Amino acid sequence: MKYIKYYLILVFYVAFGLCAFGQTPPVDLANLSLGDLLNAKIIRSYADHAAFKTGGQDSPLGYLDSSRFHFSSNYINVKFDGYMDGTKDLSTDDVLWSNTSGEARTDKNFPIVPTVIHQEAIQFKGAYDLSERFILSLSIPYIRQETEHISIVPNFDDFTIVSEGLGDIEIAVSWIHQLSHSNNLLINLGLSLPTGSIDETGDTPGPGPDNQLPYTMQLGSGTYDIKPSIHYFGSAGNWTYGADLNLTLRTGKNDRDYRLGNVYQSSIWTRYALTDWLEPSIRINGVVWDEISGKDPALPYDSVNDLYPAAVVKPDNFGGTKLLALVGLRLNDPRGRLENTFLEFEAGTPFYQKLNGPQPSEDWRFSASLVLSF
Amino acid sequence: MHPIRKCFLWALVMTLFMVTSSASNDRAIIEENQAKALLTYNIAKFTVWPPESAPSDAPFTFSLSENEAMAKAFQVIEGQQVNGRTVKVSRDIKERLFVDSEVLIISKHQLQAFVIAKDELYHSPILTVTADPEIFDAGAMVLIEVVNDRLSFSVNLGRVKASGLEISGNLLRHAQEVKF
Repeated sequence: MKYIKYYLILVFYVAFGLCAFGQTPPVDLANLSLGDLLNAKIIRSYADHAAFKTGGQDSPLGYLDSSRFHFSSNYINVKFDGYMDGTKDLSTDDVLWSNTSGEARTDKNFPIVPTVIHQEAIQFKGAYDLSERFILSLSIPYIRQETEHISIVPNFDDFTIVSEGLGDIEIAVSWIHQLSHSNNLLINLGLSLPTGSIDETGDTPGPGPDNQLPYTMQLGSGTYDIKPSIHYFGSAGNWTYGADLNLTLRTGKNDRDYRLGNVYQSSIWTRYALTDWLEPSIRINGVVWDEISGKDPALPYDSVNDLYPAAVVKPDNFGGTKLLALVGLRLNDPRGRLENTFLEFEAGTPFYQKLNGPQPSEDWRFSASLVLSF
Repeated sequence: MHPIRKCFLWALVMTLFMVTSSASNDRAIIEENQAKALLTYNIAKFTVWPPESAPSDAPFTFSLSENEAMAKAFQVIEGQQVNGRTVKVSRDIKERLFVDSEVLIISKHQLQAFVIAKDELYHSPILTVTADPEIFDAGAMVLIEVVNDRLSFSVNLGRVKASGLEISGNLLRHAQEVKF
């Protein structure tokens, strides 16, 4: 939660600045002078524009008008609290191997247990319309992760580790196809570059203060990832709706000899324009992701007994299926002067999780997005 | 300075620049179809029809067979005044182009119909307006386009005069091109 303060300051600063711009009095169009008319900025049809407003923070920049440059910033905070194995909830006591009362050490209990994980990311995204149909974009994420632990290791009864920095930068090209007047398709092909660190270290139980942190605390994948996606969206009256399919396909193995699992993600969503400036939305998001392939040799592992000290360093304990329900609220400029500029909030929680466990389970997530076109 | 604070500082400076540069460029923002409707209306206001062409209390009619979005856009001028007459927007062109109207908006798919009807149109006091360069080249009087997010128009003055209409010089000086 540390950086939400900064993000909200930025968002409200920009929002107030834009509102000030939006205070220009509305004009009676029919009485516009010829000079003002010829000087006016002409935007593409509202019908097209409404259709290009896609939903959800996972979507690509969701608009297209005569503005060629688009900028968005997105803050997301995800909290993991508790454990699951399959669909079964586990307590931290279930997962912690206490080494007392003759409790057997198995591959389902661990001497070190992350209890609460906060993952925050701020993503800045810029896009340029190459033509009416093609958009080039660049996304730069900044990530901060914080994990609280309990353990049976002396002097590490409870401890917190933090990692933060640049994540994996993504470049993408999008192609837009209008199926009909109010139905559209957007196909996106992205390439994620291994700019995020996979060498994060911290003071964990082990020799010295700079031990390699678990997979969950690294900032990037370490591999070139192909990210194709397809988005359908349409509109009818005050309703806008759509469906997305996003894939993250890893290639090869990283320098630490492992590869994160592929991610397959799909959403359906709808948004209703209550007024010109207020649009609530709902979204159902499904995610399937694979376990880690390979293993980071710098992470602790008892090869004799095939045991790991924590679930988050065991490659098999990644992957699963998750369904989330999210509600959102989009705020447009009430004067309608700022075309394709909006502030959007979305919050949700999983209603179904089946995890290769024991694995930390998601508790809730929140996101805030600011989109600007100029 | 902490890296994330530095990052926010830069983002703040960048958005401040964007907002102030946007605010300083205070242009009205108008949707394309609506802008074309408004320019057509403005051009009509700068045009003089022969007095005998219609009674002074008759509606001033803009005819079009464009799509729904364009027809909706033209609603912005419905009920306005041109030369003391009330604007009416008509969408009832079906069989042929030549209709009882003051302004005829010819869409892209009507090229063939326009070529067939143009001789008849040339001798009628009807201002023919199009957004299609091919139709303008075929003899329509006014071409309206969007170039680099601004409206632009061209006039075929020879055709205008042949039909008995007069276009003000104040309008023509804003034209991108005037054909004679």
